[in-house]
Amino acid sequence: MTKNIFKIILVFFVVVNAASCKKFLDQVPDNLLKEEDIFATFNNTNGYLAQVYANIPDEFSSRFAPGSAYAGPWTGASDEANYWSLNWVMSNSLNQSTWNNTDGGVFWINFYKPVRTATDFIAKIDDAPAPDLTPLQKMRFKAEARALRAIFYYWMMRLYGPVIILKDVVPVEGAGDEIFFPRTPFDSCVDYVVRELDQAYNELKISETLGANQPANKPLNNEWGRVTTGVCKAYKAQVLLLAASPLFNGNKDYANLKNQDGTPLINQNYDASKWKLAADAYKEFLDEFVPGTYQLYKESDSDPWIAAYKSCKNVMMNDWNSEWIWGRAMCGGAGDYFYDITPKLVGYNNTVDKGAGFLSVNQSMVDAYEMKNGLPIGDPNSGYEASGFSEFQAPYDPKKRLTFNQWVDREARFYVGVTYNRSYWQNQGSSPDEVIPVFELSGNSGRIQSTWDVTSTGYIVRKQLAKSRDSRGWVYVRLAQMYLDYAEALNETSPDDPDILKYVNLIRERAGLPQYGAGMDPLPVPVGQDAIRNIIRHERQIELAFENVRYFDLRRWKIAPQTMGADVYGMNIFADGDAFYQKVLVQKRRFLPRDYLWAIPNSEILKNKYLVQNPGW
Amino acid sequence: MPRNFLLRVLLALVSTIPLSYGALSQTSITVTGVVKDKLDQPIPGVSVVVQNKNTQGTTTNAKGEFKLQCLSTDVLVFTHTGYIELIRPINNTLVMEVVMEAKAGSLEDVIVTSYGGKQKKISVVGAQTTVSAKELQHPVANLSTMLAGRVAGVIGVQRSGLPGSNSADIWIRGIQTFGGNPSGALIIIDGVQGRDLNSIDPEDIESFTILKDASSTAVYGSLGANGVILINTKKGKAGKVKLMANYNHGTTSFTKVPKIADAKTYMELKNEALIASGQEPQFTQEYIDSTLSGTANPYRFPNVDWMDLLFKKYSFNKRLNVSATGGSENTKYYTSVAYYDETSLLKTDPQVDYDATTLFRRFNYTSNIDMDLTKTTKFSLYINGYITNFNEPGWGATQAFAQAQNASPVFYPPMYPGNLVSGIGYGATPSPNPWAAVTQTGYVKRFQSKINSSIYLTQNLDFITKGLNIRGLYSYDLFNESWERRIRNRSIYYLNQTDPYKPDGSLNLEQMIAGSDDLGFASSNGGTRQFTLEGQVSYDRYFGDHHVYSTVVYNQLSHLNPFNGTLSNYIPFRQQNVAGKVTYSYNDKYFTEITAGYNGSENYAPSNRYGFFPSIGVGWVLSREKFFEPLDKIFQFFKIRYSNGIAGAPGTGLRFGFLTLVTNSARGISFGIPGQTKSYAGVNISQYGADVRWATAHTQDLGLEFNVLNNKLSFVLDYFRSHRSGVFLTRRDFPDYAGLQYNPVGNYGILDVAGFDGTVELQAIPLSKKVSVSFRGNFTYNTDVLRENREAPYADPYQERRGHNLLAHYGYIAEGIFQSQKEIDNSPSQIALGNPRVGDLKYKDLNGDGVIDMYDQTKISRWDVPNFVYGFGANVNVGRFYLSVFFQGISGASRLMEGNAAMPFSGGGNDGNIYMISTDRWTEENPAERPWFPRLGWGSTATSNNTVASTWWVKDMSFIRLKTVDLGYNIPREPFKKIGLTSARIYFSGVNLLYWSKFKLWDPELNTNNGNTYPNTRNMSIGLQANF
Repeated sequence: MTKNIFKIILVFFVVVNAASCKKFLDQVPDNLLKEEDIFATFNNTNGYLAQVYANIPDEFSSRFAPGSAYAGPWTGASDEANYWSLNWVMSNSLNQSTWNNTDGGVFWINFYKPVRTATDFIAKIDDAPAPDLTPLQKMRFKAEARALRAIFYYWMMRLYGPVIILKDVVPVEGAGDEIFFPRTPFDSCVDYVVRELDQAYNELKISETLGANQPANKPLNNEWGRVTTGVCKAYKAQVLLLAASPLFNGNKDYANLKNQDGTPLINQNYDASKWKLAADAYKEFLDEFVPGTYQLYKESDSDPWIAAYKSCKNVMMNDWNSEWIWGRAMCGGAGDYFYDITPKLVGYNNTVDKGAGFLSVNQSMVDAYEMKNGLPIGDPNSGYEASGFSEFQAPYDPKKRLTFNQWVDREARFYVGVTYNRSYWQNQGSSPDEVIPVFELSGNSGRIQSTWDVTSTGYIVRKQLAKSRDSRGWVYVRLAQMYLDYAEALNETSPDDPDILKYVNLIRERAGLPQYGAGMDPLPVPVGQDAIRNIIRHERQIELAFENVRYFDLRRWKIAPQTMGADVYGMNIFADGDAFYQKVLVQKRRFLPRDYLWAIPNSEILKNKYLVQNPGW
Repeated sequence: MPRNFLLRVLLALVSTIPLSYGALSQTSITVTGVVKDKLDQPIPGVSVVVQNKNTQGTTTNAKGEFKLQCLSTDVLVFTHTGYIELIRPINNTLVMEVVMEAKAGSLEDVIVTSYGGKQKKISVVGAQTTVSAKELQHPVANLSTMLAGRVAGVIGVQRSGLPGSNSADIWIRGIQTFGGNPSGALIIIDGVQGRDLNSIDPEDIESFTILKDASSTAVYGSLGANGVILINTKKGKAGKVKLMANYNHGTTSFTKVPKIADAKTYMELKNEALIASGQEPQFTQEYIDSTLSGTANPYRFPNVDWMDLLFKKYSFNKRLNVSATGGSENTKYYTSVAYYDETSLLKTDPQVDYDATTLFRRFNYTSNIDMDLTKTTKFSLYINGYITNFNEPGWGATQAFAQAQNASPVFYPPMYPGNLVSGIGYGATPSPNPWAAVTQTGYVKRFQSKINSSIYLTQNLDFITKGLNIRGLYSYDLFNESWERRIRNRSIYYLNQTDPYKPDGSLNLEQMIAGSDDLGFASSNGGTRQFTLEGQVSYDRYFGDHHVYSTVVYNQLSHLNPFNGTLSNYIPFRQQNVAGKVTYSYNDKYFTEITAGYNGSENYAPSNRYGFFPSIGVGWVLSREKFFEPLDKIFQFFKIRYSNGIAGAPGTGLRFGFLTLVTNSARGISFGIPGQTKSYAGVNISQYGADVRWATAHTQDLGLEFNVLNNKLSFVLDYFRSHRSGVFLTRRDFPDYAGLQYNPVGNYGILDVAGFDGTVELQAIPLSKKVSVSFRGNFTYNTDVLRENREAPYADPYQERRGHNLLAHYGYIAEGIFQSQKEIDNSPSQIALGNPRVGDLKYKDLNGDGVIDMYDQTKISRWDVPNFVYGFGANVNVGRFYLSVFFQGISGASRLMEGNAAMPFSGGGNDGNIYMISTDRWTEENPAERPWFPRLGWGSTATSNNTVASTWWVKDMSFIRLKTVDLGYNIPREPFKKIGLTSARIYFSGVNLLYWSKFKLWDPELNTNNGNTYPNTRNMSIGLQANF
C-alpha cells in the first residue's frame, strides 16, 4: 500500500515538474517583422516609402470627406457645387459655418503621419543595409520622401496656416518638452518647404548621374504618380504663390495670431516682392519643363467647338497625359465619384449604370461659363436667352433635342462640366430606350424618387464623367493651372508683362474661345491690373472648375464671404414641367472670418500648452 | 465501469423490495460513536436521542463522542443547531461514525473557497457569498440571468431575450475597469478556469460561490481583481442509486412589445413632419383614405402591421434533466443528461422548403466519478460537456426585429403576388423588409460542442505528518463550433408608382435589385482547446483550539485557438501561477489569513512578466467573547472581518504588446495608368512596443455578520473600497502631430470603486403546524470614479470626465422647448446644432459665450449599468404546497434615447416607422411644455437641433421585476412507493412575469437606445420532478 502511495507521489511530482519548466512562457512568434527589418530589403524599403505616398488624398471620395481616403470637401464647400441634398456631407457644415474646432482633425493627423514616416525614412535610407538597393534608388527614394513631406506640410499650411515644422520624429515614450512644441511662423514654414523642395530637386538631379537612364523629370520606372523634378518645382511655385497671396501676406486680421512667447505667426507687412518670388518660380518651371516635359493636351476635330470639347474633357480623362504634372494614380474612390455624378435614372434596365447624382452644380457656376462666342452671358451681344426652348445638339449628343435656352450655344467647357435636365446621358448601356436624366420632381432622377439621391439644383457636375467605376488617376496639378498661376503672379508684380495674356490666351485657345487681343476675332484687351486680375480669376474658375482649386483660391484672395458665403440657387426640383425652370433659392450660406483658417484640432490645443488656436475658434 | 454501474442499478432496484428483517432480536446494546462534520472535525454538543423515546438520549462530548444504551433495533436522531437533522437506524451497529451536514447558510456550513479549499462559514475572513443551487434552478437557458438580485455583490442585467443570446451581463461589484479591458469575473468550474457559466444545467450545480475581495481573490493573482465565481458540480454520494428526473414545459412571450404607429398615425405625422420642415406633404388625403379603406388594392395602397406579421404571441421552451447518483464507499458517481430547447417568437414561412426557425437547443451531460484508490488516495474523473444547436434566418433574428420597427407601414406589402420580394434598392442594399428578412433569406446554423474533462488525484500524507495532503489536477477542455450559412438574396421588386398597372391590368412591378433564389453556401469553423495542470500541497490540522491551514498551489494553463490565422494569435495564451495561503484560527473566535499569488503571462515583457499579489484578512467573532454575554439575547452571533490586499486584472488587447512590430500590408500606394499599374503595399509600424502589464486593484473590505431573533434572522453586510491603477489604455494626451499610427498605449488608467452589499435572511418561521414562511433579501450598491484616463484636460471643468463615473454620458442640458420665435431670438445661438424652429429644444449656455456648441456639454447620465441592484423574496410552505416569490430591481441606470425614440422618421427616405408615442409631440395647436418629442421634422437637417445628446433624452431605466414565482405541490410518497418513488413534486415556474418601470417604450433592461433589440421574454412553465 505505502509503496503504491509513493509511486503515486512520484508520478505526481514528475508530471508537475516536467510541465512547469521555466520555458513555459518563453514564446514569441518568430515570423514578425521588426523595426530593423524595414531597411533590410529593397521591397521593405520601397514599401516604407509607399507608406509616405499612402496618405495622399483620393479626392474622388469627397462625398465622404475627410473619411478614410482623406479627401477634402473642397468642391462642395466652394461656390462651384454642393452636396446639399445629402445632409451628412462635411461640406454642408462648412457652407453654413456650423462646423466646430474638432472637425478638421483628420487632415492634421493623417498628414502628419507621412511627415513622421518620411523623416524617419530620410534619416535612415543612406545607411540602409538592403543589399538589393542601388545608390540610384536610395537617392531617388530619399528625394521622393523629402518632396512628399514638404507637400504634406504645404497642404496643411493651406488649411491651418502656420503649422508645427518638426525637426525630428517625436519620441513614442516622450513627455513634456520632448513632445510638445509651439507653432512655426508662416514665413518660416514657407522657407522650410521651399528649401526642402529645392533639396529634393537637387537630389533627383544627382540621381541622374547614378546611371540606369532614369531621367529625373520622368517618374522612376515610369511609375506615374511618383515625384519628379517637375513636381518639386511646381509645388515650390505654389507654396510661394500662397505666401504672396493676401491671406498670408501682411494680413492684418491675424495681428493677434502669436505664439505664447509673442512670436507673430503671420507677418504683418505686405511684401510685394513675394509675388515676384512666385512669378520667378513659375517662370523657372516653364522654362525647364515646357514643352519638353509638359504640354497642353489637345484633340482635333473638323468642328473646332467639338475639338475644344474633346480636349477639355479628355485632359481629365486620359490618365497621365502630357498635361498632368502630378496626381494620385489609380484612385479607388473613382467609383464613389462616378456614383456622385451619375443620376438616379430610375426605370432603366440593369445595363444602365445608375447613381445618386447629388454633386450638384450651383447656378452661379452655370452662369459663369461663357457663350460659344466668348462673351459672358451678361453681355447684351452674347446671344444668351434666359427663357424658352430650342432644338439644340450638345457636343456629346448624337442628335438635336429640345433644350432650355439658357443651356444652348454655351462654350465647350460648359458641356464638359455640367449635366443639365433632359440632356443626353453619356453611359447608355444597352438600354432600348434613350437614357435621358430628368431632374424634374417626378422625373426618373427627380426628388420624388428619393430624399437624398437627387440633385439639389437640377444640375450635376459632369467633369471627369468616366465610362465605368474603374480606378483612375486624380490630377493634382496640370499645366493649365501653372499657366494661370503664372499669369496671376506676374500680374501682381509686373502688370505689363506680355506673358500674362499669352498664358491666359493659351488656355482660351484650347477651349475654342476667342482670345484677348490675339488670334481670330479677338476680344478687346481689358485695361488695367484689376481688370486683368478679373479675367485671370474668371478663366481659372471655368478652366479649373471642380478640380479642388477654387476653394483655396477664394480663401487665398480673401473673397470668400461674397463668394463661398453667397446663397446658392438652382432650378426648382420640387416642380414638374415649366415650373422646374424657375431659378429658386436652394441653400442659405454663411462664411465667417474664422472660416479662412481651419481650426487646429481642439484636442491638440488642450494637450499642448504651447499651441495657440487660430482666430475665432 | 458500465458493468459495475448496471450492477449497482440492479442492486438498488432489488433493495427497494421490502424484505423481512423481523427475525432479528431486540437486544439491548451499548452504542458508541463519533459525530463529525464534513471537514472531518468532531462536533461537540450534538443531541443524540432514540427516536420516539425522547427521554432516552445524550450529547456528544468535546471530541464529538457519545455512548448510549439502547435496543439494537432503535433508531437514533442526531440534532444540533446549524445542522440538518440526521436519522440513523442502529441495525446492530456497535460503533457508529456519523457525518452531519450543516444547514445551508448556517455558520457551520462548509463552503467552498479558492483552490479546492473548504472552510466553515464562520471562519471566512474574506468577502464571499454562496448561493444555494436551488435558487438558480429555473427554466431558463442561462444561469447568468438568475444572479442579479440574488447574490449580494453582483451587478447584472439581461440585454436580450433572443434564444441563444439571452445571457446576462454580470459584474462583481460593478464594472471596475475601462478602456476595453475585460471587466468580467474569473469563472472557475470544478477548479478549472475558462469554462462557461452559461453552459451548465443548473440542476448539476452543487455549490455556487462568488469571491469579492482581495483576501479571497489575491491567490488568483493578475486574474482575480474583477472577482471570481466558483462553481462545483454535483458529486456522487455513497448509497444505493438515486435517480432524479425533472421535466418542464413552458411558454415564452415578450415582456413588452413596443407600440409602433399604425398606418394612419404614420401618414399623418409624416405629412406633419414634412410640412414642419418646409417640404410638401407626401400623402394626399385621397391616398390616406384609400390606404385605410380596407377595400383598395393592398399592393397599390399597402398597409402593413409588421410586428403583428412577424411575431407570434407565444412560443415554447422545454427542459429535461435526468440524473443518477450513488456508489459504494470506495466509488461514487454522479451522472446526468439534460436537454433544453427554446424557439423564438418569430414566425416562419410555410412556403419555403428549408427551416428558418429561430431555435436554440442544448444537450448537457455530466459524469463525475470519485474513487478511493487506496485508503488515503482519491482519484476523480469529472467529464461534462454540452452540444448546442442554433438556427436562425439568414439575416438574423435580431436584425429582423430591428427592421420590423424600421419599416414603413405604407411603403410596400410584405410580398408581391407571384412570391416576389418587395423593396427598393439603396445601391446594392435592399430597403428593410422584415418579412423577407425572416422568411426569404435562407438560414444559418451554428453548432457548438464542448467537452470539459479533468482528473484529480488527492493523496493524504498523514503518515508523514498529520494533516498533510497533496493534490494534482490535469484538465483538457475542448471547444468546437461550426457555422453553416445558406443565405440567399432574392430579387427585389417595387411597384411603379406613376404607372402602377400594365395595360392588361396586372401590377407593373419593376426589378430594383437582381438577386437569386438559390441558397448560397458558406461554412466556417472555430474552436479552442485548453490544458490546465495544477499541483497543490496543503496542511490542515487542529491543535486543540488552534487550527492551522496552509497550502501552496502551482498552476499553469495554456489556451489555444487553433483556428486563428496569425501565428501571434495561434501561439497559446499561457499563464503560470504560484499561490499560497496560510490561515490560523483560535477557538472559532479569532481568524487570520494571509494569501499571496505570484503569476505571469507570456503577453507581458520578459522583464516584468510576473507579479506578486499579497493580501491579509482578519476575523473576530465577538459573540464568543465573555464580554459579549450581556448582548447574547439580542445577537446570537456577531462577527467582524476585515481584509486588505492586492489583486491584479489582465489588460491589453495587444498580443505581445511589448514588441515593436512592423506590418508589410499597410495602406500603400498604386502608381501608373489603367492596364499598367504597379501597386505597393505599405510597410509601416503596426505596434509600438510598450511596457505593458496587468492592472492592480488594492481592495479593502470590512464585513459585519450578525444573527438576531434566536439565529432566525441573519445579516451580512460588507463595505468595500477598491483602488485600481495601471488600467491599460491609449494615451489621449499625446500630440497627434507626432504622426504615430495610433497613440501610445500603457498602464495609465486609475479608477476608484466603493460600495456596500448585504444579505438578510430569515429562516423558515413556522406560523402554524403546517405553514411556515421564510424571507431573503440582498442588495448591491457601488459607485465608481474615474481618476485618470490620460486624456488632455478639458477647457472647462464641467466637461471633465475625470471625477465622474466611468460610463457617464455627456451632452447638453435641455431647458425646455422654444415656444416662440422671440424666445429663439433672445436665447444663445444654437445654429451650430442646427437651425432651431419654434417647438424645438432649448439648451443651456454653460460657458456663457452666447453660443451653444460642443463646449456646453456636461455630464447628463450615469448610463446603462445600474449602481444599485437588489432582490428580495419570500418562501411560504403550506403543508405540501410551497410558494416562492422573488423580486429583483435595479436603479441608477439611465439611457439616452436615440433613433426613433428621439426622432421619429430617423430612418429617412421611406424607411423608419415611428413609435405610437410620437403623437406626444409639440405642435402649434398644442404647444406642450414637456411632451416626449419636440416639434416633428423631416430629415436630420431639420431636426439636428433636437437630436443632439441632451438631458431631454435621458430616461430613467430603473425597474422592479417579479423575477420568479415558483408554486409547487409535493406529491405524497405513499401511493407511489411501489414504483420506488422517494419524493416528487409538480410545479409551476414563472420567470420575468411582470415589471414596473417609469420607462414605457420597451423593456428597460434591454441593451438599446432606440428599442431595436429583440425583447426579453416572460416564461411560464409547468413541470414535474421525481426522485427515485
